[in-house]
Amino acid sequence: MLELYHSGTSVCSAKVRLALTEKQLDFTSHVLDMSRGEHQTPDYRRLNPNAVVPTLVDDGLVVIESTVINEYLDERFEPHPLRPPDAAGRARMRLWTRQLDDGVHEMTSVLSFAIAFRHLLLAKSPEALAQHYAGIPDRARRARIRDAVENGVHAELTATALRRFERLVADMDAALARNAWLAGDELTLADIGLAPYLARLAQLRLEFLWQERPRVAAWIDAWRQRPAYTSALSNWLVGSPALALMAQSGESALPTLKSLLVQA
Amino acid sequence: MELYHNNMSVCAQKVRLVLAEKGLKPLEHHLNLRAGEATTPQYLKLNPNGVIPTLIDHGRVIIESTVICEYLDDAYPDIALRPPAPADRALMRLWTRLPDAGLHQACGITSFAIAFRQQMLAQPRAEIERQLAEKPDPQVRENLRATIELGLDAPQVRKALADYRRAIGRMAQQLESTTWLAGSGYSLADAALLPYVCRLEQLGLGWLWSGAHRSIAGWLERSKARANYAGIRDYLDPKYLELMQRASAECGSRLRELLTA
Repeated sequence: MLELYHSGTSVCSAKVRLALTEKQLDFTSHVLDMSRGEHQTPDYRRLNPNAVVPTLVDDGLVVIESTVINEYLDERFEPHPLRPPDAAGRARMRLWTRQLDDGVHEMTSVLSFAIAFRHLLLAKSPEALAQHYAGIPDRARRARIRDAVENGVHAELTATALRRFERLVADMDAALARNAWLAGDELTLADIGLAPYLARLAQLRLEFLWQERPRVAAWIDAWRQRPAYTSALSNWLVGSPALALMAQSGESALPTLKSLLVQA
Repeated sequence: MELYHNNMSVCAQKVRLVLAEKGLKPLEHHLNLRAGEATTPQYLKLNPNGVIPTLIDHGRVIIESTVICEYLDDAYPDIALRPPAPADRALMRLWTRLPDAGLHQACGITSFAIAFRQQMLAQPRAEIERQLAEKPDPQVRENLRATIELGLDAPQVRKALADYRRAIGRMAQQLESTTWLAGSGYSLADAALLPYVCRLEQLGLGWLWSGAHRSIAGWLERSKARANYAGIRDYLDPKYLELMQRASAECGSRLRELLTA
């Protein structure tokens, strides 16, 4: 039996749900309410010492880290393969998936907190906020989130994050000029890895990043037409207060964010 | 098969360990990084990130050491370096992603703050600025500038040492129950982490695994006893080794203080 500990809003959770759904695998869902710190309890930390979502449990075997989980799923369950069959294709695919672990995820959390989620944390009492920070085991991640919460769009890394996504979108555009999907003509874990990140940017009202990249826009449209996109990604956000918060705060941050890119 | 690499780079060491384990002998192109050979327009066409290593196999360009290592195991599976069971492969990948998820950056910051800054500071200011301007990634450039100017006082150093120490702690815990990082067999996980542990040793920080973490010492010995260790040993530059040893001795007590804080 497959069990998934996840949350509706987390991008890494959506990444694993997309892989499970594209592979037509059923799973028992354990949704954690991150705003109530359910990912920081001692019980959950025994499963996931980093206190992050998602965590997959496969007949008692615990697998953490979404990139690792997705390759695990594709190796463990052969039908509906999500990796190219050849070595070169797999290298192309992994060049995409490793970027998420090497900076893209970090920059997404900078933007998400600097624009939107800071408002949830700022509404907490000083004690509750201190407790929230203390519950983030990774010291660098703690400092980044704190800076984003305290300084909003003027946080140290906001412009760096926006530039990173400009480059990512340019790289995607170049790949999509060669193939229908990022790593070839079939959908792979590369597309699954990137989809929730682009969805997050859209939720934060940052679609301008690909307004001159029609191939990226077409890739997003192709995704939206797949049933998995609705059932594994969009449906988990329907009616979520986070969605409204991201839209509203994204709208108001937009002029400042655009000016940051001009200055940079 | 061709490999663009550098003798002392940890990422190049990692790929050479895997190549040697598989008995593959590519044509080698050694790049002088300080002379900007990884950022020439010609090289950037192969590797847009301006870093080494780059592997060319049957005309295909493969970049990023973690991706190269998995590629080599996919393309040349006879001597397999990934465990067969999906569960063990997941464990292996938790290790191989560590360098990409911060450890590599920690290694660069630590090496520069202790030792390599001295090579940089021995040059005229304009030359330092030229080399900094060549770094395409603004964060890498900023880290480099701070460590050159401030050494161990750079604000990035505390986090780098903490990341390094955490990785060592996790490895030690794993190696108390298994011979190799991903279980009973040598895998890409061991090849991925060995260069980072060797670097600590070169920087005079081998004492980190003298006490509670001593399972690392046995693993290090087993790793060095393998024939593929030639992928590190045969390329070591004595000038760099001497610099790292001397520079770390000069700041040994401060380092110990930072690492035990």
